[in-house]
Amino acid sequence: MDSFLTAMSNLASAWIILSAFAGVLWGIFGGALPGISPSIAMALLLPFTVGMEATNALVLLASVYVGAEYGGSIPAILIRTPGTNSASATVIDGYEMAKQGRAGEALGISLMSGLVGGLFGLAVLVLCTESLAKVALAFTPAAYFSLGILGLSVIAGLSGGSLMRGLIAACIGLMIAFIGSDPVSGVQRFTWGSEDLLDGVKPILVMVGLFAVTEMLVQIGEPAWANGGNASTKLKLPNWAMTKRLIKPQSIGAVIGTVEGVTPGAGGTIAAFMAYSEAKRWSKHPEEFGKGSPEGVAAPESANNVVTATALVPLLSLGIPGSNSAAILLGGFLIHGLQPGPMLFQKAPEVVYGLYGGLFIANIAMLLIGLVILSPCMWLVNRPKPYLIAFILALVMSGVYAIHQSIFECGLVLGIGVLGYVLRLLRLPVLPLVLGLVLGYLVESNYRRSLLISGGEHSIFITDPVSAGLLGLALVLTLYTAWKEFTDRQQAKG
Amino acid sequence: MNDAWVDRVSGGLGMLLAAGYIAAAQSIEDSLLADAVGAAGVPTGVGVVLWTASLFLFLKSFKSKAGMLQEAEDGPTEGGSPHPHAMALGLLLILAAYVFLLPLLGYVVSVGLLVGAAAWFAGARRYTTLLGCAVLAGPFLWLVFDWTLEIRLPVGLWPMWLGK
Repeated sequence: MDSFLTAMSNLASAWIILSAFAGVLWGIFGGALPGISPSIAMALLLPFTVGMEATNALVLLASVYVGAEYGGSIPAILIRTPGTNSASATVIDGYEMAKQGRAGEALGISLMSGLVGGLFGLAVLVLCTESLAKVALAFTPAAYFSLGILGLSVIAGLSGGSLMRGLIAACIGLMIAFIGSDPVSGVQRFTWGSEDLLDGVKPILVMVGLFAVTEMLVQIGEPAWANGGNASTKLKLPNWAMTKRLIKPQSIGAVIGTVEGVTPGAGGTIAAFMAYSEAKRWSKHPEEFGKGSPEGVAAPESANNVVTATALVPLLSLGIPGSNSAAILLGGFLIHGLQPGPMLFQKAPEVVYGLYGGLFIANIAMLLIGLVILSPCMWLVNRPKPYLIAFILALVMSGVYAIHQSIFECGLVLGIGVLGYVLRLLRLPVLPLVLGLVLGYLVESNYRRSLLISGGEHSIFITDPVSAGLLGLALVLTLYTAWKEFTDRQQAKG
Repeated sequence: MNDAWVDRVSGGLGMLLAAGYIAAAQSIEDSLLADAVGAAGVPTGVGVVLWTASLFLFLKSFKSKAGMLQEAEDGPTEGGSPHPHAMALGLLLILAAYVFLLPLLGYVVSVGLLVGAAAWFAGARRYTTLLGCAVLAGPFLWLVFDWTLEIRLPVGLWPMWLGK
């Protein structure tokens, strides 16, 4: 109780508040730049935390994570360029809303859903860390494989009405995911002798190529945007009716984000896509998805912001960093002589509670900073189209170079942009490709690890209770989607 | 292209891609550390799924009479360029030139050229604004990435040319 009260008093500390605001601002800046992932934005600040007091340092780093996850949605909505991997699902309806002159509404929904998700995730972190840590421990390689299959099962919902097209796109995504070293034996696959491909193709490169470069290649031949220069630059927060409508998708995002967040290695990208698909499935207006649905923005934004808090569950309780960002935060703990894990709550409770308090302030900071910066961001994207295209390309190519300082990756992104252009001509959906890409490594590596454990027996996927449950859920969701698609077609035929 | 033709082309290309991919997967060398599935196992399976889905789409295109009659809306958009694919190709060439020039001319000059060329190609004709944007873009983005984020950007061959 004393520690809790100390932590509460820390909330009034000017240094904690300053750390939270500075971290969120830096995070939004980094997250909005394509190529600067949340973990890179955090890593850039890590050296500056050495001389800081432990709680301030950890609040600063965690706030960067919160800000970066939110910041990725701003370019996703405004210029169809996800700043972070987990903002990819926000592109779908966010950019459609922006094209319809509803950018202010989309950004407002994204901001509020991010806040709801962040605060929900924080509540889960504070109240359920101990019990949820057991969930993380229950995940065997077989369960991870089944989790990947569950993720892939949403392809049908993202295929735009043609399961076969979605399947083809997902296979292309998986094929890209398999480039590089084999996860078990280390053998090179599909690298054609190129050292640049040994580490595989980073998902952010594919997403920037598929979304941003492709969009610019398409836009160059299109007329100037109808709303360009005249569109409102006013941020529009959801009114009461919209808030009520968004409760369901935000709740779906919150639940999925919680499960994915506490599972090491799952992460915000999968959570965002699953939340999008489930929000569409349970929506009263599924036909609006992909055409500028507010629910299509709320669900993924809620999910990926929940993950910023719930991803800390395995880190704080077990000392397991489930993502790159959590690994950087682990570095922050170690720099200050703290070892995350069960003993952390006994040895340094004031730091843990201080971090909780700091995360609360970080979410409030995200709201306040968002309210200030979003209108200028909208003004920027309403500049004349030729200059906007030129600056987006300059920003995108600079961001791509920034990832690994690699000229090869700049060329690779152009190639992926061409692939995206061809996919558009062939009307193949891009989202299943992204999902296949993100899940490829998770599915293959855990499939093979499971078979190594079981001596080649596939029954391991059924005998493991968590795996069996996830596979069953994947089957139910797939059958439900197929049945719904069938009945919709029958109804359309009349 | 109407829907049936798009399905036919997608299915055909998908089958070709799958065949090539399966062949490439089969040529992956086995390692002494290989498990029962092997490095080629899962990619081969994905190739088979791709081939099957593509075949299904290809065959479906012959069955879709409605699709044959339906003209898709993929011609030039009203008010846009009459040659959108040529415009896309032109922009792609500008981007490729940027990637080629980056290690030679360095970041600041290359980005300036990219901004100037891309904006002009997209229709900017106010030459003072165009020049201003091209000149300022490089230093501005250099400040963001190199100075603020401490990400080292290529300086090109300038040090060698200037004898430093």
